Amino acid sequence: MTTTPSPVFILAPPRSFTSVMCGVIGSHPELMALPEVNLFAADTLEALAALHARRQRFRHGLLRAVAEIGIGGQTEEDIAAADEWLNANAGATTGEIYADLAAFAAPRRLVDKSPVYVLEDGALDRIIAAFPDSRFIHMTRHPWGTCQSMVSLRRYIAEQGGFMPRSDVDPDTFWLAPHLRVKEFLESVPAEQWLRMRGEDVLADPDLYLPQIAEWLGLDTSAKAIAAMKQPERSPFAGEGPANAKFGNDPGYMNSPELRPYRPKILRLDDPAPEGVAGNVTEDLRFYANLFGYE
Amino acid sequence: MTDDLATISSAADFRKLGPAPFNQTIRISQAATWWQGHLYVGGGRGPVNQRGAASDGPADLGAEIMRLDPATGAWQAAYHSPVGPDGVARDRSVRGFAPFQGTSDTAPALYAAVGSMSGQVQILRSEDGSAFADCGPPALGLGDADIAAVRCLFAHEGWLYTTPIGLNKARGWADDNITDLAVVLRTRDPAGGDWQIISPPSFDDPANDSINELCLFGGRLYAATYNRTSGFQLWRSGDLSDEAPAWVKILDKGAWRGMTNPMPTAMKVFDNALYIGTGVQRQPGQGLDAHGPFAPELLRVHPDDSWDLIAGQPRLTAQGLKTPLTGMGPGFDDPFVQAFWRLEVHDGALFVGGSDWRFWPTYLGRPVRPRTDVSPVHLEWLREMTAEWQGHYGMWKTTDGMHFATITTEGLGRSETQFGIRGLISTPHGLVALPAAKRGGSGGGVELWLGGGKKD
Repeated sequence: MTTTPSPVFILAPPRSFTSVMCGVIGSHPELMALPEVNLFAADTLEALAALHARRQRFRHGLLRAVAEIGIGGQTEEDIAAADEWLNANAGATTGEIYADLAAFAAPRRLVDKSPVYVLEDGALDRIIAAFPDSRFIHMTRHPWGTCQSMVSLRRYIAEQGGFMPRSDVDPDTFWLAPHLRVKEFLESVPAEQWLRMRGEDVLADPDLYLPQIAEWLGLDTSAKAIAAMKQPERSPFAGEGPANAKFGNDPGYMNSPELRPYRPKILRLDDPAPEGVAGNVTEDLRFYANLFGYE
Repeated sequence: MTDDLATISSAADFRKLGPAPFNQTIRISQAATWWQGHLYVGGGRGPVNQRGAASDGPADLGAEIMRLDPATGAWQAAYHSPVGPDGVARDRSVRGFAPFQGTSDTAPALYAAVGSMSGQVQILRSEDGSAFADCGPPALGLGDADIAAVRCLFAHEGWLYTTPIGLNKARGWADDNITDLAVVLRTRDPAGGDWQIISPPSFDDPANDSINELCLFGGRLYAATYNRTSGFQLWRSGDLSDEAPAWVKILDKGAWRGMTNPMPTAMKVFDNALYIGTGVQRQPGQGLDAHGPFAPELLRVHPDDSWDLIAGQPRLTAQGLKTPLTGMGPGFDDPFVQAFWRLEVHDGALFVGGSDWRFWPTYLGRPVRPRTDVSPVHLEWLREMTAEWQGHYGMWKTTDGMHFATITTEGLGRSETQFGIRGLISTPHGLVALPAAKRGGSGGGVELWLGGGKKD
């Protein structure tokens, strides 16, 4: 049982507006947006460390969160102290560490959008076991938009000297499979604990939808609170971290975290797939795109 | 409240009535009414020679109307479908009853609409309820229009209203809920067949496959469309004294739930609000029926066009956040509810009759069409729960629209041939529930249950 406020989890495949939406929602005065802490990707910190060993950047978000929320800042010294604290608690479960983070942040509730939760087996079950009263936001984006954004990220990583896969982005793998995982998980969660929303809608009309999100979470819906939500750039995680933990979020978002006017492109599955995206539209892909309100 | 009726609080408060003497093919009652001291029950059967469907029985047996005299408990056959020259019954179903006096009628009569086996809908009329005869031309006088049946029939201020449903000329599988003519029709004289179209075809949206429910509320018509693409729509008429009433869209996109609210299965006025139950049409191997289950929702609309979610999925909408007033999700938190199939007001309460999809478990996939969109663990759970089904279906009751008591989630009598409540009729003698029977069930047929009968 947790005595701290249960977090809010944004569940979506990568490239689904989760960074900006986490920043926006988490900028409500009663909430706090986390960077990508990826805690529930494993049962224990020790097991999580194995994932971090393969991809050091995965640890940056957790280090920054512990430093900022637990220690009070994000200097290199704070990051080192956070690293020390995590190493000292290597035997702890990830749920215990998360509960500590939630307690540090209280009375503000944490908002977490770590994409790995919809990609790793067992992650969603760990969340609900640790925080049975969690709220979940199932964020959607048009398959072509999601996949096109993934292509752009791949190119960015390649420009930075990283690995560039040769294969096209497959919508069944990158869009459908994670959404099906989320959908099935949410069917086991009481209806009052989750919302599904199209990211395009919220970004295009934040004045209509942000008060509704706040209301659903039982938060202040005053103009002042909603105005705060529209300033995600004020989050301590909205930019790069110190040299020893620079990352922890989408690079594009960290470079420009402001909420900008948004007009969604009209995308249709019957249009040619974006460059770099496999054009196979399976029956399941089409059905679930339609289910989420996309053509 | 009716002081001399017993309160209904559980399935134990229902008793099974002696069966109506329907022919062996009858398995569903899509229309029933109380008129001049008698209960009238329409009986319908499955289609003949439908591709891939087993026959319900001899082709020369069709729709029937039975009436019950509650004083004696005696049934009387009031109508049998005629048989065509091909040896096939003309009528497949009874889709509506309405007490009405047309301009050419010398006295009030009971009108009925019968759906056709392979042709066009026919209006019937009876002056005393003992026998019904054809009234007016087939297809509501609209020539060779492919109107197999109608969804409703009711009278208001000198007009008789209905909406077409079904297709016969290009019959495919499970097409009883779509039509070529998604319009509201009315006439002052059914005998003359002078039915007038008073709504734009499909409300100018080709994705509206039909007007599946039509209800009078506050002197206006409310028409709810079946829309598999983006979810049902609800339209409200303007002044019905106008020759061509204006129409305004009140709900769109399945009340903003989308395509998982495709069908408005029932509408009823209760406590100055219009309640709407939703459901999913069975479409084996297609669409929602290939990817479900998706449990239904219960909504209500107020006279000022505002609306509430009673049971269903919280969501953001153009009219603000909607969360279920009952705190319960779709299907009243039961994933096996297929539809909130009937709504009826009785003894000061609103009753909701549900159906259960497990009698026809298309959601489990087949070897030729395995489920690729659910995990093996989830599929196995669905299979296990389906194996446990034994005539389950639900009924609920509310007196305030906020708090719903469960009458049953296990059906009335646990008959494995019955899968949902298709009829609910309030009578002075109690609430009559008419479950539907699945095709081919031995000992099936239309059951009648009387709830909350007169106190001893």
